[in-house]
Amino acid sequence: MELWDELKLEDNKAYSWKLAELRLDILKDKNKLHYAVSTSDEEEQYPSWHGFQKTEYDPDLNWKRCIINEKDHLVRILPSMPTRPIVVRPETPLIVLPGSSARFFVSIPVWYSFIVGKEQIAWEIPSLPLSNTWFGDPLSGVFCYALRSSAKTEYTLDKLRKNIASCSILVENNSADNFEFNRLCIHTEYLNIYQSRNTLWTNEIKVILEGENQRSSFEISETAPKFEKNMKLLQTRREEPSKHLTKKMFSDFKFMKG
Amino acid sequence: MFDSIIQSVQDILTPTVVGHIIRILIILLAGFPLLNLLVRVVSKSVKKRYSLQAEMITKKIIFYVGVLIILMMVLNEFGFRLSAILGAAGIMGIAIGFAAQTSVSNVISGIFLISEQPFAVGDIVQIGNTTGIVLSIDLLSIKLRTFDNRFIRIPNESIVKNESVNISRFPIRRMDLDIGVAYKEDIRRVIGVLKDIATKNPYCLEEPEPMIFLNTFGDSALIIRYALWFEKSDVINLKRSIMMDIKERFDAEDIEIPFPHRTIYTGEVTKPFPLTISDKQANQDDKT
Repeated sequence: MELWDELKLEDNKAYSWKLAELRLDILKDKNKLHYAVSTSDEEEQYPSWHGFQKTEYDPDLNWKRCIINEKDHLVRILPSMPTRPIVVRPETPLIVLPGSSARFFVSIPVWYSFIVGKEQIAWEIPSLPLSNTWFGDPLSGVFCYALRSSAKTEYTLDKLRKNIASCSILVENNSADNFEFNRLCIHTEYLNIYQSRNTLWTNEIKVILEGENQRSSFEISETAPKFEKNMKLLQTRREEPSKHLTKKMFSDFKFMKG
Repeated sequence: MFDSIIQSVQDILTPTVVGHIIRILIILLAGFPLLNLLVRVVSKSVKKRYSLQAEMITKKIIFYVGVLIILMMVLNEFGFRLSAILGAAGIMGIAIGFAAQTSVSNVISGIFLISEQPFAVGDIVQIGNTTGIVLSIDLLSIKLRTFDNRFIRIPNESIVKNESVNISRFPIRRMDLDIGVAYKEDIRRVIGVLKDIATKNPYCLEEPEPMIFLNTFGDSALIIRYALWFEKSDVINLKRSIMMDIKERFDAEDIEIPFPHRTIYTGEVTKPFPLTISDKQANQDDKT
């Protein structure tokens, strides 16, 4: 059974999901769904391994309760994009010369959405804790998560990481100046999640830079990226893209002259 | 007898009187509904462009002015001479004006506050020595609820005349702490430790970046300014957690936080403190 597949719960039977470094325990008791989230103590070769199994009820866990429809036996875990935008800062500086383009890949930790019945989200938990940051000036701006990224220019499949969604960002510098990429605010609420055989992907983002005095643009593709075959839509975006996307994502882009 | 009553009524209700009564009824029956409609239309428009408080004030002003106009029209139908009434009202107005200078000043200050909007209902403000959440902004005063749940009324005039601080106006704020460390400590190491503490604290924002620098050479310690940015609702969470984090980490890293010591002298500064050591047991033996 796949991690993201639906599961039929039996009453008074405990189940446990291994989700990267997290462990989720579930027990259904008529209309009450008991759940506990803990950090896994097990040492593993690949800490992001995911799995599912039936287990014994452990009373020492930090249990919480959720009231559901007694007839709802089907549950599902799905990956979702983070609840707030993410500010990506490359670990090493990145400069895109005039007239050239660069594609780089950012790994975004997903949130796990626990779905009961048809589409009711009971709770969501981050697969990795992200620190908080602010994007914009202190008078206005956006409350975001911070993410340091290696911003690789080539995609490589090194580990099976089911809690990471890869996001491809294509930057085209149509201006006359060098572009130094310091930070980018990705509005993850506008991104879908696609599943390939090996990993998760989001929509591709395209940034077209026209220069300091010109209007640059951001585009979010409407289809799955083409880096792997047989991609299928796994989770839809939280919101429809705003009309003022350029203004929201575009900040502190330094155009270097000379 | 019945006939005489009817005759009396007919004598009173002349066509002129009946005309007056009909006009009064029309004024009342049409006036109040029209006034209500006007209040609703204007307050909707004010609410869209301004605040809830401005809408409330506008509604009250239009309503009371409207009622006054309707009342004057009705009195006019009854035959009262409005010039006499206005004259008397004018004299009363002067007398009341002298007596109500403070109230009028508060009302005018309230109008300025509503139009200038230095704060809104729900904001956290500091006015003088009082800090609290704004419950309402009224014509004469504003009402605050302090964090220890006291109700404070502040006249508008005093707010307009003095400085007021809106603590929650902007979405993020900075917390400035002064941390004293002993002179013997390696400042760069201490700054590195403080940076690490900020990075690990979940309420401290990564950007704007924390500012950490040696601020002054104090009497007892080197004073490091530790300035952290946070989302405005996390002020208590950050204060609680960061102080604990600093103390625990300094203890773990063996970084000394100095404090002033007191030396006691008796009488002359140069002479030592007199001290007598007595052997209690020996004294008791001597006595027996």
